[in-house]
Order: sequence, then structure tokens, then C-alpha cells
Amino acid sequence: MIEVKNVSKSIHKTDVLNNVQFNIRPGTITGVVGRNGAGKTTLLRMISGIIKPDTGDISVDSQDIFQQPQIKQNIVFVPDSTDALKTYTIKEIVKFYKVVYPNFDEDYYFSLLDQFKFKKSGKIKQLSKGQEALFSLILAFSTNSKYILLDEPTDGLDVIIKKEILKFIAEEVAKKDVSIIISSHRLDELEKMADHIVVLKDGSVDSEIEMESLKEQYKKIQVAYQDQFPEDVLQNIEVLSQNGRVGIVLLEALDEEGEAILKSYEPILYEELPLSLEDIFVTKLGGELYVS
Amino acid sequence: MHILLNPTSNNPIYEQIIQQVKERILQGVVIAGDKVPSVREMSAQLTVNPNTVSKAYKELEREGIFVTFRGKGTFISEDVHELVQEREVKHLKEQAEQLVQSAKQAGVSKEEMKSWIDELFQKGGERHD
Repeated sequence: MIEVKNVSKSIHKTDVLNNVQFNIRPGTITGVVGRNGAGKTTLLRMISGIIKPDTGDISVDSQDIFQQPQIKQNIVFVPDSTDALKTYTIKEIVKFYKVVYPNFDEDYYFSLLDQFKFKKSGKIKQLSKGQEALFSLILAFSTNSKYILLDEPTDGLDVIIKKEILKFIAEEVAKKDVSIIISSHRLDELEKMADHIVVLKDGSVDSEIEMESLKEQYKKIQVAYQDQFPEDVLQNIEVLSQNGRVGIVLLEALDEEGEAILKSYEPILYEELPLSLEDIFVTKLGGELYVS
Repeated sequence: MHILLNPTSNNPIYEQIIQQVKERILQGVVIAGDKVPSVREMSAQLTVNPNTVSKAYKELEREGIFVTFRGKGTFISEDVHELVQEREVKHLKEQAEQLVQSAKQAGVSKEEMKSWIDELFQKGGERHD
């Protein structure tokens, strides 16, 4: 288990993370979402022990990552670009990784390279962007680490390699007892892959969502009224969109009060719609768009 | 076994998997004794969290639709057809209930409806026999 406790960090006098707290359960996939600049990458770098928090603790299997750095053998951080590795060859990198990760499985590494039809020689910088993304995952999963942190693993990739990468992650999670943290803007992907979602907003945890119960936690309702769309509804209910008499609103599943408001104006249409993670994202984080 | 997830469904993914496995059985696409993909294969195929697939598989096992033999894999149970059919009949009954409800609202009489149903059964009968 990874425990992030009251973590704050400012960089160049700007608060990047502010009292962040959440846990990563073993054997699960956690998605970290948030708008650009919400602090996702900083958070991942911190969990992997690359940068220190100003205040707060991060522990991995009850060991503090900064006081007992050997625990880092169990954590791999895969950044969204492999610039740091570029000058190595595909063979050289093994030696380097073996020093940092004693459990690195060389046979497995080369068998994966085979499976994905990589050449076994040449420098990493010769790989295409898609190959590079896949390569850094192969490298990460070959370390046999218990925790793998992925920073936007499918960002900017074509659909085919994207699908290949997601498949690979799913297979690895099924095979090994590994926990994954993925920061991503691809909510549709996270919706299928994640057990748990941490929503970051302005450097703080805005909310946490269990994917399994997402569709039980919230209801998306399309509602239409005979006359005007009631002001009361616009003011007091989370309205995702509204156009004339018709509106789409989001309610917490047990929000009887909200439901009562919607129904008190005698809607001519009241229909539940399928809910996606995107709806939650827009509701929780979209407000910022209209500020300033 | 081909499963297609519907991203706009109101049902959680594990329920969609359960539902579709049952549909495939009713369609005869998979039959008793067939081997089903492992959790790993299925989650890779759907690019879905293995925990989700595993949850669906456990439920299907609990319902007696899947059986797992250690070291051999997971199979469609031998008496699956009855199981699924039973549930399908129940489902049909619920649909009929809705249909009758709608008929009442639309002012269609019981006799009228019965005559439709007789007609439909006859048509179907001709086609099959």
C-alpha cells in the first residue's frame, strides 16, 4: 500500500500540491485526473521519490520513501517522455536498470521485446514515439516492481499503439500482483481500466471515486419543462447543459432533495441517461473555466 | 467469445460482461463445454481492468454458468442452457408486463392484443415448421 499523507509542495514560491492525502491499495489501478497544471506529474514524481515534499509523508508498504530509499526498488516511474534514456542502447539500458532494480528480469525483458517485434540493438532514440512509449512500459514491467507509476502513457499516440499499450497493461496486471497509478486525460480509457480515481484540483484532492460504484454514486438526468427552464433548478442543481426547455443535470444518487426540486416543476420529460467519467470531470473541474 | 462493451450503457462493465456472456449462450454462439478466455485474455481483449473481469467471472461461476477446473481453465457449464433459459423466460415476462402497461395507456384492448399475439405465433410457426 502507498500512503500519501498531508503532502504539500511549492515550487518557485507557487503552491503545486496542497495537503494531498490518499491511499493506493495493492493490486489495483488508480487513475489520477485533473486539468493541466493540477499537480499530477509533481505528485507522481514525489511518490516515486524523485522530489521531496515540503511537508507531509509518503510511505510505501509502511516505509518512508525518503528515509528508507531502498524501498524505491519497488517503484518505477514512467515519465511521458524517455528523454533521459535516449542515449542508451536497448542492451545497455539493462545494465543500468539492473543496478537500480535488483529484481530486473532480463529474460522477460527480451521476451517482451520479441513479442512486440522490437529490434534488440540500436539506441532508444531511434524508436518512434509509439515504440518509445511501449518500450518504456516494457522496461518498467521488467523490473518486477510492485508499484508502477505512468504519466500519461497513451498521450499523443495513434489508436493502434494505444490499444496495444492498454492491452499490455491489462495483461501485466492480470499476471502479476502489481499496483498501477496512471495519470491521464483519457477519461474513456480510465473508465475501463481504473478501480479508483483521484480527482486533483488546484493541487488538492477534490474527490475520490470508486469506478465500480460510479454509476451508483451519481445520476445523469435529462429533464424538460413545459414553459421556461426553472431558475431554481439552474441555481440549485448541477446543470451540465441546458438548451431552451431541455436540460441535462447531474445528481448524487441519494440526493432526494435535488430530485424533489426537479420534479416540483412538473417536468414533461424526466429520463435517466448513461453516465460517464467525463460528466463527473466536467462537473467537478469545469467550473474553473468560467473563473477569471 | 466476442464481447462488445457499450460505453454509453447505464450498467457497470462487469454487469455488461455477465449480460453478454448470457446472450452469447442464448444465441448459441457458445455452447456447454466450450472453453472461455482466461481473465487475462478477456481483460486484454477488452482493455478492461482484470479485477473487473474477474468479478464478472466469479459471479458467472456463482450462478453456475461458468465452471473452473484448476489447471485447465474456465468452461461453460454443462447444464447452462436450462439456467439461462429460465432467466430469459423471467425476463420475457417482465417485458410482457411493460407491453401490457403500454397497451393500457394506448387504449389497446386485451382482445385486440391477444389477436395480435395469436397472429404472430402463427406466422412464427409457419416459418419454423
